[in-house]
Amino acid sequence: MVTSPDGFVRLTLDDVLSVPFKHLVSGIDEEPAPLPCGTYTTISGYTEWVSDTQPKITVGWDWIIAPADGGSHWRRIGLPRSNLLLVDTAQNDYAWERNLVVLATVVDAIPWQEQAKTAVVERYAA
Amino acid sequence: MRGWQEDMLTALEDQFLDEQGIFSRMERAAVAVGFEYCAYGLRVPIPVTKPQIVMLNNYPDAWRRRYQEAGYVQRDPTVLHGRRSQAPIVWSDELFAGAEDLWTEARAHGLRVGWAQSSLDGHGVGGMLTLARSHDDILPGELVANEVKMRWLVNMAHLALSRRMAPKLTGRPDSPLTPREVEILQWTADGKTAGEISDILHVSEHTVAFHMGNAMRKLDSNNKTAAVVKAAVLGLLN
Repeated sequence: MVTSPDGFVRLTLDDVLSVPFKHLVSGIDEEPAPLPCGTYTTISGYTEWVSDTQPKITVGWDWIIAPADGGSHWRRIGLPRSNLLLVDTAQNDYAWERNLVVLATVVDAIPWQEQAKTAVVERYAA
Repeated sequence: MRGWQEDMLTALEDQFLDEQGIFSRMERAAVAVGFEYCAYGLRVPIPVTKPQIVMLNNYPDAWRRRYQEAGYVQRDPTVLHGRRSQAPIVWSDELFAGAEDLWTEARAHGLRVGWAQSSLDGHGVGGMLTLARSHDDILPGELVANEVKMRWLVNMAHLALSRRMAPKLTGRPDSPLTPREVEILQWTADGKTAGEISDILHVSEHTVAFHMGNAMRKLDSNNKTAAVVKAAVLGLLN
């Protein structure tokens, strides 16, 4: 695994699904978009994760606490940000948009919610 | 050679691949992550009084027949867990306590070790993927190495199969509801009468009835109550 001259780390989807990611930092958006009257309050934020590899791969995404089944659920919103560029088995780069869409499916397979929640609670409890 | 992950991605993107074609790719993926059996169940909450459940699996024929005859899906602890939680679960004696007959029979048919996770698509349609095998317990090290792949497979399987199967089962409208139709269904769901909605939206009662009529037709519902419930259950009012 190496960093390409353009700054990206190139990996196949199989490789990415084998990379263990660790929680780095999570926080709440300080200035959420103003809401119209009568709508639910929403809490949103960001979370960043990093691989335990050299070179490091970082992936970050935004989240929102959404109502679900009478409770709430932390859900990714938007596409992730990363220094990772997926390549197919022939080592051809994914198109950028497809790279992010597929990377989002990887993010959704990581059980990130509990760790992000714990980090946010610890950070803002003080 | 293309891996199972690329196969699943293209299954999602290939509009001409049918359910069986998608399931064949899931079987290959299951083998790649160490499981000889693979099962996918889709639960559609319409009609409300009798939700539909469709299953695809490569279990032994005898077990498939037995599971259906005994109506085990109604009390299968893995299925009940999947309705409550999207956390993965590993088969165990504790999990099947209270359904020992099912557990004993499953093992007799070679289904001894299993892992399952459910997924919801935000439209009320739930799916659950089970990966199973006849030997070798699932140890913590295996989950550390493979669980993200297995969870990814759950999401991809649900996305691909629910897109193919759910529209046929739910009667989801061919043409989408307009924002005005959604708005009127929402106020009706909140208990407002046509007269009250006309005051809220500053339109005539006739206009409210016109939009509600269109919504009922699109939702193939006989009355306002059925239309509102169907739209809500399918997540069309969010």
